[in-house]
Amino acid sequence: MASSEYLLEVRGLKKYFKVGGKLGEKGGVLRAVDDVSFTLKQGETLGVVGESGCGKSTLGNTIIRLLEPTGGQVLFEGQDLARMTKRQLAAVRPDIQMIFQDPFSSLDPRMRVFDIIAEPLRVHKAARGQELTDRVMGLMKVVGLDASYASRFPHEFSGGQRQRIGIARALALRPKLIICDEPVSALDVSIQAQILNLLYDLQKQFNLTYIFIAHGLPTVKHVSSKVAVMYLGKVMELADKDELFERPMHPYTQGLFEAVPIPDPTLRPEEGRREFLQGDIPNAMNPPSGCYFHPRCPYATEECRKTAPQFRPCAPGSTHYVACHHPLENGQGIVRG
Amino acid sequence: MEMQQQTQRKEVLLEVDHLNTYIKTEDRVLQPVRDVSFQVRKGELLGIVGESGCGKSMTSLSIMGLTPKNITVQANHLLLGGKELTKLSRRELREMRGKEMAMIFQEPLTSLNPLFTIGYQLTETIRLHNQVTKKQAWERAVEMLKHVEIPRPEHVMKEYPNALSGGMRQRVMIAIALANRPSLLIADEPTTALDVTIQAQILYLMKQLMKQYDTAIMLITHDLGVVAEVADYVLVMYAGQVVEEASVYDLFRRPLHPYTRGLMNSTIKVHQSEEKLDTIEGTVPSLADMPAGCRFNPRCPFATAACRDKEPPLAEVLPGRKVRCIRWNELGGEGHGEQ
Amino acid sequence: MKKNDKSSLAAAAAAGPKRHRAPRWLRMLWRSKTGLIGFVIVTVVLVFAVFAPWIAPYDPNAINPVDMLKPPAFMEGGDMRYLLGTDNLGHDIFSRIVYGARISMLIGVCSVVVAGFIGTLFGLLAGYYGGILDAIIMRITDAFHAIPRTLLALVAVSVVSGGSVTTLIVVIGITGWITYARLIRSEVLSLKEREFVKAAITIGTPDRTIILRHILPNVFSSFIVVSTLAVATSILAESSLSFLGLGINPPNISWGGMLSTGRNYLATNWWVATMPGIALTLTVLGIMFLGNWLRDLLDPYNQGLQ
Repeated sequence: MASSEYLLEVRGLKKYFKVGGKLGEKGGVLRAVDDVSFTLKQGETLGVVGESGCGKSTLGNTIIRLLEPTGGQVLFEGQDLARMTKRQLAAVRPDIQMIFQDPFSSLDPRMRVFDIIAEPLRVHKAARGQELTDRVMGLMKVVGLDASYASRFPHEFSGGQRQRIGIARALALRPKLIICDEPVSALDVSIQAQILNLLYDLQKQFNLTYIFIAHGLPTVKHVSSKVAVMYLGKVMELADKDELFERPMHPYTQGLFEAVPIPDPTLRPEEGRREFLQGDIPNAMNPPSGCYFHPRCPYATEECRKTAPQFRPCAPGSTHYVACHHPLENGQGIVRG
Repeated sequence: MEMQQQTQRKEVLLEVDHLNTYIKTEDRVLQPVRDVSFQVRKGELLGIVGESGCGKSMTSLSIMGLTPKNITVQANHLLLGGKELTKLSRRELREMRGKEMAMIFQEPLTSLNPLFTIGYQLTETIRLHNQVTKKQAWERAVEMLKHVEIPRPEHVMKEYPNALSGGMRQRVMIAIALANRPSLLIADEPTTALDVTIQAQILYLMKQLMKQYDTAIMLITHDLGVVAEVADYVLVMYAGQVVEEASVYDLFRRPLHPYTRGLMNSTIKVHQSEEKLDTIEGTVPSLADMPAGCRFNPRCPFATAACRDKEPPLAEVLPGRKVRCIRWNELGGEGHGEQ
Repeated sequence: MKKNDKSSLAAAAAAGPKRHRAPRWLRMLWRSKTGLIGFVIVTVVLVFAVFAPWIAPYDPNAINPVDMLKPPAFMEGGDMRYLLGTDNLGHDIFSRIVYGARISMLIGVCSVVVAGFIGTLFGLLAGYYGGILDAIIMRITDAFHAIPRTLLALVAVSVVSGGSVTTLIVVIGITGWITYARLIRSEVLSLKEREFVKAAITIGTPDRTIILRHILPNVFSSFIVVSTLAVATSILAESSLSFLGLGINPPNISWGGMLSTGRNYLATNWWVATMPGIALTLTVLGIMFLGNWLRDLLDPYNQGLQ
């Protein structure tokens, strides 16, 4: 096994979907994930943020090979997941797990909680008999579920509790990397905070590495060490969390900040619009020319309309990457008012 | 300050007095909305906040007369512009809808008929309540689409709902809802299904149209941030009851109910740095299994024996401020807005 | 009155749930009137089929030249001994209907087992693996779909020079599998997109285990519902074949055969054909009702609500 300082290294990952094109009609190509690269060390969390159709979920599914990548590399501990055979993949599966968005669809409605959490252990013959029972009970305790729930069915639980069951299942094989695909966006506000705290605690406890997918910046704020902002299949900006939240460089990132409602009416804008981003998200089948973001960007120039910007460090040697011809000099992230 | 807020309030448009809803199931009667009373005043935006199952949507459906068949609605009064909605016939109620009150929903795609063009659906709505020719209705429809800031309105009139993005569809829904200039617009989670950048646009649009059309809005949402951005008055609901009512400034400066405070603290504040998130422990109780006494007591860090014993009343504890908590005064709550 | 109603509702809401002794399926059956009717009809037919020798008042094949073409007991000239009258050979029609239920039920149920097995297997393969396999299986079902089922069965029965119960079961079963294949395939396709199946894949669960543990149990309820309806169609198919003389041969008794005999007397002695016709219609209707009720019963969302 090649030694690497990174647990996960994604290089130029692509996932294209063919759309239409049956019976001679002209089909199109949807570039759901287009040339995405990042690295992740053990114990880190990459927050992936973007609006609908930006390809963030496809990215997660492609890394874990629920979808076959169109191109690029996914190096997990130096081995390329993207090129593994089914058999090789089966050996790595336990190390990479996933937590899903919809807690109502992610649990088999006809299985009891015990069996759901025990399934990974049984499949990999990791434990049986009393040891299996002990480990399942241990997992339930870790995620804050009462042991008496073991014999119940998923439909007897609320969304938050179901999400805890899903987390216990993902933890069962002691994975190194967990892909969290919008794990809290289907939950109530007060429950979201519980689950985010739980994920944070588990990470510290088990030295987990997360890829945390979310549609808004607030959600990734607590768990991420790095944040990638995606738009129409491309990463627009990638930086350490604090850096990104304090000094966003891409106008789109700034726009995402501006759009978050502030729970403080005294910071309400007087008159005139605050919203920074005009217009709609373009159809991913037919993205704009040049920089994909230019039609919505208040700073767009002729250059932006013509040529796509490179995704590169904002300064030589910097870990702050941005794909913009005119990065913001002093973008404002967190503090306002 | 609180006194001032009170005296500035305008004429009452909608008066909801002791609204109750019941669902008869096979073995018992459940009560999704319990003794809910509030007022919406002309030209005001009332935000109703709460988590899933708190009864906020059922409240709005009851006002519109759109509750599902198995639900019984009872109220001392449901007065809209002086008309008693509970006493209207189905036909009269139908005429009120669209003309006096209108509603928009979370998912604009399911609210629009996929088989008809935007133009057709919009002109139909206009012609339903007005004696105008097709051409006049068409012109008014285009005008409406301009008001909701849809680019190339003449073109969009000929489109089918599927061809539009979520944000555009919600704009169309707003246009349809406002087409007959209703005095009350009920918006049930209108931006929840939308992306953040689009949400900001729609919220701003609603606020702007509210002034332009002199319409009152009842905005139902789970997001305190949204309320803070646009509401004038706020109703906080929990487990079928109103637990707190206040002007938006009062509420965020000093939330009185432990639930309101818990909700505020667990809302992620992207603009301030903080370490760990505060949470409200436990889960929302189910309709079939409501706790005795104060319905929030099992999750409340301040609950005492008295809270478990008796259901607290919704009392006006400060001028213009109501709260359903017997310990509000001891807790000395402070909002995060105060710094 | 209104006040009264109000306080009673509020009181009921304050009270806890009532206790129930009856199991859920019985309570649901009682509330669904059509389900209840279906249940009663199907039970009666099953009792007929199982206990025919004890229920039928006469030997169904006993020829009685004296009592030929007697009208039903409730008609003028009817005979109390023959509840539903007699046919051209003096057979007691009621006894024949009771015995006919045997063949109908036997063929209905067994052919559905055959069709269900083949169809489920192909549906699972097509839905789960997709690609070429899916394309081939689906084109075969299209081909089957293009030929009327009865015609297909007709050809098959004449090729094997028909008649026996076993051939009918096999022929009706084989011509009926496409319904299952399509249903199971579409269910599998939607289940495959459900996150719990994705979760099983990321755990590293082998395909076989995913199919057996996660997919099959979740298509089971649709399978049962479709099966009840398929029993009805199979019974009709058997009757059609027997009516055309390609199904059950005498001395075995089938409702379709009885219809065929009665056809010659429709103008003069209508009951000979009508009575088995009614039996057939009621049975099919009853099974349909039962199937619709089963769908409600087995719906997991319904279960969650109760």
